[in-house]
Amino acid sequence: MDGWAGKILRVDLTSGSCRVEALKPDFARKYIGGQGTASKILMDEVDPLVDPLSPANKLIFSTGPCTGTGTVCGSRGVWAAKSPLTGGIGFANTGGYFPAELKFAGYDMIVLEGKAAKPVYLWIVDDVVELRSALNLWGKTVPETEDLIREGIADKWVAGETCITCIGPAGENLVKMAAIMNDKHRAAGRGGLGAVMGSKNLKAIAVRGTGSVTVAKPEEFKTAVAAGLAEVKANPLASEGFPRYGSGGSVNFLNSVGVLPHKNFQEMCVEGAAQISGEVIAEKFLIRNRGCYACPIACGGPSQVTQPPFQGKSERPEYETHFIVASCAVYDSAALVKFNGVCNDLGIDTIDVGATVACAMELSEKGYLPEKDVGFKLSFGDGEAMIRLAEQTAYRQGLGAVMAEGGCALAEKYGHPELFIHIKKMACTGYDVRNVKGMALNWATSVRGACHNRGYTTAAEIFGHPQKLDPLTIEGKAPLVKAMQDLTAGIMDAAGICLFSVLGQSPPAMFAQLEAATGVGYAFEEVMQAGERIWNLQRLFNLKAGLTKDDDNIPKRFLEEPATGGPNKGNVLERQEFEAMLKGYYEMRGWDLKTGYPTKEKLVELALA
Amino acid sequence: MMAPSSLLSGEERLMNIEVRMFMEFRSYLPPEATGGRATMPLEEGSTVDNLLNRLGIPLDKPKIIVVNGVSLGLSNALHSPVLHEGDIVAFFSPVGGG
Repeated sequence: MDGWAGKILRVDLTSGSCRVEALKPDFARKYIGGQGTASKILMDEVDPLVDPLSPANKLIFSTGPCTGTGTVCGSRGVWAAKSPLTGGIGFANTGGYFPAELKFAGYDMIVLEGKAAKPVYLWIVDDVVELRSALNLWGKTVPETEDLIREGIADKWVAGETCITCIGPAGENLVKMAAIMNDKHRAAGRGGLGAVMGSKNLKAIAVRGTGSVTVAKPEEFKTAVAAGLAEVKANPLASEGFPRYGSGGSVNFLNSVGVLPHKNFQEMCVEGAAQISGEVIAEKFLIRNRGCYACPIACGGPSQVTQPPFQGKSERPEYETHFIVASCAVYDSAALVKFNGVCNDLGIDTIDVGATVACAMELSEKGYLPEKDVGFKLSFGDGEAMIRLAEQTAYRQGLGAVMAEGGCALAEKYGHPELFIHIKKMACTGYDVRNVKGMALNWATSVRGACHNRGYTTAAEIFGHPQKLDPLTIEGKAPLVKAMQDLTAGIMDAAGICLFSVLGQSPPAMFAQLEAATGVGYAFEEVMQAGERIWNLQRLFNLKAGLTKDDDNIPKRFLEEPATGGPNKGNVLERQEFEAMLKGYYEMRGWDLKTGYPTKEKLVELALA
Repeated sequence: MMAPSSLLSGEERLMNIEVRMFMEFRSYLPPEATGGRATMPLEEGSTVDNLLNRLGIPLDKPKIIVVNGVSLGLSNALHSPVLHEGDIVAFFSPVGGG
């Protein structure tokens, strides 16, 4: 096969056996890769009603056919399992170098099942695959774990070439928003998949590949990559804005248009946002730029705070981490960098843990969360408390023992479930959807919870990319959401291309690279349909896991509490507007309006019946 | 540069527009500006394009313009609405994503 490596590595942690299975060409073509192939295996092999932290759940790492080929931004891989946070299908996307390295070792996917009797890590060098003791790694942070594994490799050149993915203390402690980290600072953050890895007593995977990935049509591929690169270079957003300011460059802009949420989605257009903008991070703390494999953008980079009390190192924060700090009303750029570093080192999702802190702050300020349960007086704006609570959550200490079960568990325990702002138990991200109506529909219908990554309608509604749409109307939003969800699921996430690259290169440019790499004769529409197939498959998993149509909902705060500031002051998302968009969306998707199930006709059309 | 209002004929009336500059757009601010902000007097009826000309910002320079909290989108989608007294116009380098 070309594009695909052609092999699946299966590891049974209970018995310690590892075996290699061929990736079947028909299966690969139909589900492409990434979350597509991973979701199909989960659906076929895991009972959706299983306890996510039991040995019966499977944890899958899955790359795409573009990963590791040299496709522009073809660096990505996806972790997938039943999510302990949402109870539905969970998946989280990551870049860095680990996914490409797995392809160089000859594998498209790793399927992990069972549970090791004692902590282990998986060692892969091409065909050599073994489980090794991780007793010396257990309890270590993410950077400590990587360093210890590398120190154990005699040849320093080989050590430098080895890519490592691991969990931190949060994953070991089965924290429901634990991340899986790779290359020290790249996070597969959402849905608590780090806890699934921890539940299997698997601390890390180290991989080194000495091979390469072949492409089917080398000349066409070269031309397609050059065209993709030219598009990125010509686009000021990808070639200037992103490298200079990171995704946090959006903070001031989104704040000025009333989209950046503050204080747990209670306020917008707060002047303090300027103190935690991407510009400030770039100016004060960024040491240099750093990109993932085959990335001409390089939006990340090591950052360092030298002055107390927040001294420390961290990767440049992403927009969503800037947002979550604003949601805690902490307007201190050093605290933002420190929080990001602490969460990455402990292996915990900045978004969900930050959102749970913001919820705790609101519960505390409103008198629902007693000071004795926190151990100190907790209020919005306290950066040290934000970081301390994230640490306590990773270690399940103090209030962290409750927070580790997720924001919903915290809000319910203190009698106000409405104060954790979530969809399907996953925290909402940095968009005030009173003012971005397509995004409200996208969140509500997302299969993994309040996910901004797939179906990012904000690009068109707010940023005006590729064209500006009115964020306040509901007209045309159902087809927009469906098209963007299918596009992200198929052409980007399944193929292994970074989502950010859509800000620079067009879907046809990405498709051309996918087709030249695989040479299977894809048509653009076929890949879009694969995206739709993946979406429906994940929907089916959720419905079988017990989620219902009622979970396609939007938090009451957006429906009932008017916007307190900004250009749309006084706005709410009207219930009837939301219902109308949802109905239109179900019709477009071919889903039953009463049950939310895909109709038989739709399943036949997608070859899922 | 703007002519002092005393030199203008009585027919020409001025309005004050608050300009907020972000990122590299700060270099287009008049020297007396502080905190990335400045108040610009403009003839009544002026448009966003007139403001760009006044500030010396090339019309084709990539940017996102926000007028009173409403995004006009990336410059390729830009239209040039008429401005009014007290309007706040913000300029950003192209950004996106989350």
